[in-house]
Amino acid sequence: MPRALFHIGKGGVGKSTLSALTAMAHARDGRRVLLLSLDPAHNQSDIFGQRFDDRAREALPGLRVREPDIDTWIAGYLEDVQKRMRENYSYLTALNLDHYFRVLRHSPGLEEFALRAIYLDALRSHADCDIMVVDMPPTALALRFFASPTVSGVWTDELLRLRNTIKEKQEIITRIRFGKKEFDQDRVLRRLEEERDANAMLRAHFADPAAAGVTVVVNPDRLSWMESVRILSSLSALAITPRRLAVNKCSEETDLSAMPAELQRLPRILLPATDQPLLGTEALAQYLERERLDYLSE
Amino acid sequence: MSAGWRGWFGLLSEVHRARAVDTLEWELQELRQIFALLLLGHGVGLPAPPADLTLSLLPDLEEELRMLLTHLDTAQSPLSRLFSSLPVD
Repeated sequence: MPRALFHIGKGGVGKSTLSALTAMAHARDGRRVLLLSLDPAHNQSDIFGQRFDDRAREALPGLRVREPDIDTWIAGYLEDVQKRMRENYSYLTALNLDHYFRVLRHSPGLEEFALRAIYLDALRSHADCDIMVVDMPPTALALRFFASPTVSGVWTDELLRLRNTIKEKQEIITRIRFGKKEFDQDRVLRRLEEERDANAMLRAHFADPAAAGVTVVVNPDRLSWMESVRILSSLSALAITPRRLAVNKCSEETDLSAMPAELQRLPRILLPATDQPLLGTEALAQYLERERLDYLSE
Repeated sequence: MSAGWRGWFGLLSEVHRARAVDTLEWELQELRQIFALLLLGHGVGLPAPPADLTLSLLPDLEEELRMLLTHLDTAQSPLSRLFSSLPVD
């Protein structure tokens, strides 16, 4: 399984550019890298000057980029659920599903679900990669993504407890009434158990620094610091410790002494500001070379 | 034992077994309704689990959905329903 390197921070601080630079630095060191963009803004296509989509495409030797569309994933998932309902349900019950699913498409909670499904799919289908650099969406959605296995886990545990009680009572009734000793498998129970296992795996994965590392990206400005303090607090509640703070757009005059103590405590990397737009692989490679950013691949 | 007696004892045993699980069956039905309400309660303003969890279970919940809809018919008279289910005179 590849090691995941997440980049999270306030909108506009340079998460996508830093993700691209980090991915290129690792690929330059000979690692097999996947750059996965979970940002609905689709910035990686603009940064690399190539059209990316849900299929991992090679941007440079050793570096593949995948930029899936979240809405397409949600639509595909809902279609799959609808198909299974039509197969399992009687004709009349399944008759008016279309309208229900048109409404569901805009239901809250489906975006983080799509991110989670894409991430799990990337972990599975790119198991041959050494590193997976993840360009995260804006803070609120990114935090809901990290919280999803914990939130879902609370519900799954309670529903599992109730479903197990239902199963026990059902078995007692069947045994007394029909003298049966073998029982049909409960598909709902099986799905809940799969969900519980996926949640437990993701929680452990996010909390393990060897498996996943979070870089919090800030600019030398108070607004991005304040939001990052809130990010740290939310991550801490989920037992996730960020691996480092990346301060983007630094110059010789940059003064970080007023930065909040929570951010000061993190290992820090500084990325110099540049007048040239960092667009295209050539500009990115030149910036890596010029500024000697070898530590990006550490 | 003749076939007639065997049939009679069989019927008696069946009646007793059915009576023994009557209350348990009512309890089971209530538990399944609670399970369905927990999953689908967003429709009536109850706290709901993440949408994807509900959706992933929905294709296997036809029985629970049907139970909830049937329950709507008797929702106006919960006490009579309770008394008809439990051995209360």
